[in-house]
Order: sequence, then C-alpha cells, then structure tokens
Amino acid sequence: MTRYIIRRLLQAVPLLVIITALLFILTANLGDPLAAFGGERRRLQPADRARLERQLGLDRPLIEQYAIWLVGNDWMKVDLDGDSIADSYGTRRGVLRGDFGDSFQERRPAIEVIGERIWNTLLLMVASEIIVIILALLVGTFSALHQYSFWDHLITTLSFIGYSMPIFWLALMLIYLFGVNFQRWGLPSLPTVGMYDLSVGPTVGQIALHMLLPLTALSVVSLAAYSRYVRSQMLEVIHQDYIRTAYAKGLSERTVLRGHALKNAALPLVTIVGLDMPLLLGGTVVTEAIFGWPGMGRLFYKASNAGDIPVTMGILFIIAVLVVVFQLITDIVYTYFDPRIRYE
Amino acid sequence: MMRKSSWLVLSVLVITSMALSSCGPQPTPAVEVPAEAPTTAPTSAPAAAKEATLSLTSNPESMNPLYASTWYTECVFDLILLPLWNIDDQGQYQMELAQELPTLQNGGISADGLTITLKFRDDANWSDGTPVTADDAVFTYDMTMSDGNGVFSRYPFDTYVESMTAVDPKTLEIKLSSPYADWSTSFFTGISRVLPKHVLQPVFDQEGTLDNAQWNRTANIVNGPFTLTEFVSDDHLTLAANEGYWRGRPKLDTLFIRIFADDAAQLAALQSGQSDIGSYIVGDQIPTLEATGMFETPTSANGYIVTIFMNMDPKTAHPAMTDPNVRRALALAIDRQLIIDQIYNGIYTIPATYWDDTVYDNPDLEPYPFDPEGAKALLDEAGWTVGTDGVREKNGTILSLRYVYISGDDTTDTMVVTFQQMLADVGVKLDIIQNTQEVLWASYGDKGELAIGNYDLTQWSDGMWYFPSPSTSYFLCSEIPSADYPTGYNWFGICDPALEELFAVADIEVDPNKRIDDYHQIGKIMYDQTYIIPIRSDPDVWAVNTRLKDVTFSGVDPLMFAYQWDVK
Repeated sequence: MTRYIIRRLLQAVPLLVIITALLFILTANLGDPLAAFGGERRRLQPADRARLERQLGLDRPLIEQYAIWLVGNDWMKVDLDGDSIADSYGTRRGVLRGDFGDSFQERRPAIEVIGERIWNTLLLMVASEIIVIILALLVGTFSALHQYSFWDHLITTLSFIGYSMPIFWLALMLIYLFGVNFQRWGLPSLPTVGMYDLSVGPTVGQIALHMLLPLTALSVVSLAAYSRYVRSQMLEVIHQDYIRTAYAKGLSERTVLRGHALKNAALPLVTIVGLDMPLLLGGTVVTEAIFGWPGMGRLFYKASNAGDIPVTMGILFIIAVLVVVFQLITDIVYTYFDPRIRYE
Repeated sequence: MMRKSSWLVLSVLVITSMALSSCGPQPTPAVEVPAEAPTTAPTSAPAAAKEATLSLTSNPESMNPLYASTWYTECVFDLILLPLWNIDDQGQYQMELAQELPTLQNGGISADGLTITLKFRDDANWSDGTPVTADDAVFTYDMTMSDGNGVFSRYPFDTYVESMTAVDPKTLEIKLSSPYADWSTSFFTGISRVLPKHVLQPVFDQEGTLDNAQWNRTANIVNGPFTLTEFVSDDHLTLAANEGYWRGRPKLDTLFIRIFADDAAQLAALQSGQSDIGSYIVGDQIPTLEATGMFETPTSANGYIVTIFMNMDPKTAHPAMTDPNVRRALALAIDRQLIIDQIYNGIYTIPATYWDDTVYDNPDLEPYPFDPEGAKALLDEAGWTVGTDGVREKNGTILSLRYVYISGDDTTDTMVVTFQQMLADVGVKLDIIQNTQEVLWASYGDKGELAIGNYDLTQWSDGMWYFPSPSTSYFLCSEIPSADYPTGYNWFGICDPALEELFAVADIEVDPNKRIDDYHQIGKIMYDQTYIIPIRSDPDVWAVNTRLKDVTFSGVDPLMFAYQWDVK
C-alpha cells in the first residue's frame, strides 16, 4: 500500500504540470484583464495600459508568463521602467515556492485573497455535504426498504421536484418567503445576506443563523440526487443472496442493514463523494452571490470574468491538487469498504 | 448505520467549523476607535448608536487611490479620504483640504495659466492628529510617477504636470507643462486623493514599492468624516465616525457598507431591512422598492448616458454604416421613449448629445424623434431597397448589422431585443451577440472585438469620465487603434477634421464660456453626422430607507454629504 501511495503521488507531479499549463492557456485567453480596469465608467489611458502590461508581465509570450507563474522571475532581470533595458530583478518567486502572484483586481497576494474565502466556503459546503450524506442515507435507505409504499412515492415525488428546481429560483424563493414576507407578516424572519449581522459581529449563533437559508438551498438539490442514488443502490443490494442468508441466520434487520447492506451500497457513493470533495472548494457561485456569502465560488466567478489570472489560476491549481489527492484517498477508502480490494 | 461515536465526531466537526469560521477569516483590522471616558456619572440611559447600512454591488479594489479605478471604490474614498474640494449636485465647489479654489482673480493661477498655487486649510488633520500638508500632495504625486508602483493611472500628472512643490507646509505649487482646462476636476479630487506621507514614506523606503503596503487594505490613518475599522473583501466595510473631521463629528456613529454580487441580492437586502441605502438601482426595481413604502429613490446626474456607438471605419465597417443617412435612419427607427416607459418605468430622459444634462449640452438640439417613416425614406434614398424577405439590400449586400454588447442584466437584454424588432420594422436585420467586457473592450493588440472593428453597433453607458469635465478622446483620429497604436480608444473609426480642431481648441481653453461654446459646436457636428445614437440618460439612482434623514448625493462626488446623514 505504501509503495502504491508513493507511486501515485509521483505520478501526480507531471499530471499537475500538464493540467496547470492547459488551465493557464485557457485562463489567459478569457479576455484582456486590463479591459476590466476602471469598471464600467472609466477606461485606462493608453500610456497607463502599456505600463501596466509591462508591470504585470502581460506583454510577455504566454509560455514565458506560464514559466514565471511556475518558477518566478526573481532570478532574472526584467525591464520594469519601460526603457527596454532589463536592469532590475523580478519580484515573483513562483507557485513552486508558494507565490501565486498578486491579484490584478485587488493588488495584493492572490493566496491572501483566496485564503480569506476558503474557510467561508468550506464552512458552507462541508456542512451541506454532511447534512446531505446523512439525510440521503436515511431517506434513501428508508425509501428502499419501503419500496412502492405511500412514503416511498412521496419521497420520490419530492426528490424529482427538488432535483428539477433551479437553485437560483429556490434561493430567491427562500429569501422572499423567510426574509421578506415573514417580516412583512410580523413573523420572526431569517437573515438573507452575509455571514452575520454587522452590528452584532461574527458569533457562532450569528453565523449559524445566516447559514440556514443558503444551506437549505444547497442541500435540497443535492439531497434529491443523492437520496435517489442511495435508494437504487440499496434496492440492488438488499435483494442479493448474501442478504437473504444473513436474515436466514437470524440476524436482526438493523444488523443486516448496517453490517452488510449499507457497506456494499455505499461503495459507489464513496466514489461520488470523493469526486465532490475537491469541488467543494470551488463553492457555488449562484448561492454565494444571492446570499452575499463571501466564498470561493463568487471569487472564482468574479476573477475569471475579470481575467484576474493569478487568482483564477490559484483557485484552479488548488482544486487540481485536491482532485488528485482525493482520488487517492477514495481509492484507499475503497479498501475499508471492500476488503477484497488491495493495492500493490 | 453509523456508530454513536461517528455521530459525535460529525457533530463536533460541524460545530468546530462554525467556531473556527468565527475566528478564522479575520478581517483586516485597523485602529479601534477609542471610547471616551465619561467625566460625569450619566443621569439617563445612553442614546442608541446611530447606524446605517449602505450597499454596493462591486467590491472596492483597494483603500489606496493609486490602485483604485472604479466608481464603487471612489464612493468609499468619499467617506474616508478628503479631496482638495468636492463638487456638489449644483456644480458648486465645496472646499475640503483646500482653503479656496485657485483662480486668476485670487492669484491662485498665474497669468499664463501654467502655475497653480493653493493653500491647505489649517484644521485638516489625519486621524492620528498629524496635519495634512502640501508635502502629502507632493508625496502622492511622486508615488504616482514612481516606476516602483504599479498604479492604475498616472493621468493627468504624466501628461500635464511639470513639477509639484511644497512651497511651505500649507502651500502647494503645481507647474503645468501646458495649459490644462480640467485641472480642478482631476488633481487630488474625484478618485484621486492625497496620501499620508508620514505613514507610507517609510513603507516605500523599505520596500521600494507601495503595491503591498498594509495601509492599502487597512487605511487606518485617514482624514475623512469616517475612519475605516474593518474591511472584509467581498463582504463588508465598517466605518466609524471620525471625531477629528474638520467639519465636526458626523451624525452617524457607524456606517456599514455591504457588498453584493448583483442587483437581486441588493434588492432582497433592501426589502428585508438589511440595507438602508442602495446604489446603482436599476429602473425596473424602483416600483418594487416604492411599493414597500419604505424607500425614496433620489437620482443625481453624473454625466453618463446609455448610447449606441457605431463602427464607421471604412476598412472594417459594413458599407451602410459609413453613410450618415443610414445612421440617421437607425436613430429615427428606435422609439426610445417607449423603451424608457416600458422597460425603465419612465424614470430616464432621452439625451440629445453626449454631454446630456450639463452646460456642454447644446440647447438648440432636440433628441432624434421616433419617425419610422422618415427612417424608411432615408434608407430608400440611400439606395437600400426592401428585399423579398423584408430585409433591405443594395448591390447584393444585405443590410444585416452585427450588434455586440456586454451581457449582464435582463433589462439591457430586453432593450436590445426591442431594438432588433424596431429596426426590423424598417428593414434592417440585427444579429445580436453578447460577450464580456474583457473580450469586447480588449485592445487591438489583444484582438478586442471593438478595437479590430468586428462589429457594426454596440452600446454601453458612457460619458464624462472626469465629470464635470467634458473632455473625451473617444472621437479623435489619433485614437483610432492600429498595429502601430494598439491601445487607441476610437473604436468607431470617427475621423472628422472639424471635430479634431474643435476638440484640440476645447482641451486647452481656460475661458469657461468659450469652452462651453466649443462643446456646443462639437455636439452639433456629432448630431448632424449621427456619430452616436443616445438612448437614455443614466443618472445615479439610489434607494434610501425613510428611517434616515438628510441623505443627499452628488453626481460628481457621490457620498460627499455622508457627514450629515442621520437617523430619524
């Protein structure tokens, strides 16, 4: 197993280089970052544009820009003052040395910009994933065990409705019901934006309260999908011979479900969760935008729209690393659920 | 099923995450506003703190004006950093850091117009008690021009300023390299502000740059009516009343600024009471806000209009677009009043020229009328005859025009589709292409769609970038982009010798009345040639909760009156 893990990690290095190179090319072709400067009301003066292109390294060939992004330019001389003479050392250390560059929009280290949002996104997404997994297992298992009953039909109907709902519509409906109309009707209303009431500050209670609506919006759609998946897997497993044998041996339903059925039914779910985990960091653009949650999804959307290459590449790089890592973790977790699986 | 221990672990994980989050992403703290110790025992309960929440729909980039470029950031500067003077909604100069506006009469401007001398007021201080001096202005100029700083713009300092000197701590002398009519609306005013030299000089001396100065995020030493106590990017800013503001303490104790990603989120926050003042309100939201009975929606003219620009460059344009009669026909075919009434609830007006609602707007010109029959007649006269499919053609060329614009909101999309229908009624086919700002406005060198002429019609809100200065370089021959000059902004291919001459004269004209006359003539030429098709005015529209009072705005310096905002 150890050799397997080391081999996978070594294989990840060239893979990440290829992935980041491709992403860099795509990101750099999203548009002109300098066109976003000034917002909608101002444009860069021509002389300022030429200077900023030089200072931000945007006048270099794409391959050189990627190399600088990767290894930095503090070891080589560059032309900072525009006199066509490379007489100053660069200031970039490169991603390999932990420097993701400075955000074009916010003019500060991209890793600092990303770091401020990561915890906000993880809080929302991890909480949502935990709720969804637990509820999906409960609902999906119940539905499978009571196939074609009234409750199964009800759960199935609600699942299809939940899965079909556009999340932005659901989010807005939740806001207007629990935020706007409840207040209008004199009922206790829920906060609709931000992570906490600015007058009160970031307390646990405030954050929990502000999480209710975005968590609900996020969980409804995912729960609908996951619960259907668990249901179909459970249905397949509980009709297997070994389950019948377990019952015949006199084991209780609880023991059969927990010890035999769920473990086998959960294996494919592990794959899905393993694929989802790194994407949690990407956040969810729509939910974060509507609820004013300062997370990674909103940051990624804003940065990619504005051509903010350092921030966009920083987020994509982190996600790429996590995809590789979580795929490895998923493979290892398989061995827990299915002892027959072994790696050399 | 999961064991009890697993449930416990999961519960601890969730609770721990929430607790960590409350102390994890720390906002950039600044100096805390010290509470004053009471000198006598209070005889009654202290008055509730006066708080208000303003919302913006874009994140301020930086608290350092050198690295800022957007209107939203400028709004924040109005609250924390003083300019030399503000310009109110009546166009009157209100002194802030400067004692008086330099003029020829008071000797502040030399006879040749090339030397400007101004005095700083004695009672303007930074929030740490250090006086604001001319040295701060000179330092700001030096930092703007320094190659070590990746500032957003050096304009107009790089173009017009020869030198800047502190004659004494309170006297600043600016020597111009050439006459510059707009100096009073661009030197240390608008988005340009004076920096605290005593805070930032040591940073520059040590780092060789201000690019990563902590002050750029914390702005803990300021001189405006409010101090910044907290800035959480993409979420909020918290501002506290500055006791040392030269006009006296503002009436509000705390002003929160909430940052939203879009209009819908802001609207929900306004309706639910989580925001008191909304910015950049879109026309179709006004009935919703007014129906709540909680909001007023004042507007302030800002020199901007929504206008259609056209590609008239003979090298890249559709042949029809080089004909002024065709351009006039397009203008006559669009019922702009209907669009304003139906899509924007009638809150806007129809401009006649680029300088709408300013003294530079030619009063003799009326907006193009809605006259589809007149449009058809002009197109017939120009030789574009209606084909069997209803689309006009001439010499085998179909009058099919490519309309590109920046996508982003439903009302703009509806407006453009309405254009399509109105133009179809007169036999003009419109192909609509949406794209992002970064693609459309990219430079010629980056193959920007507009710069390379890959369009026929486009539209956005534009106007006086340094309002109330009327200057623009959009319509100059010299600004047409090319391989030799890829950064030019005349994406429209306008090259009119009469316009060139007038712009050159107006740019250096220091007599305000003559300058107004120059721009009236410019407006007349542009109107006669239909170089643009103005669609509607685009003033700043605000939403103000009626629980507040004395909330007024300026189209030039939007939040200059924040010091007098109060709670009822």
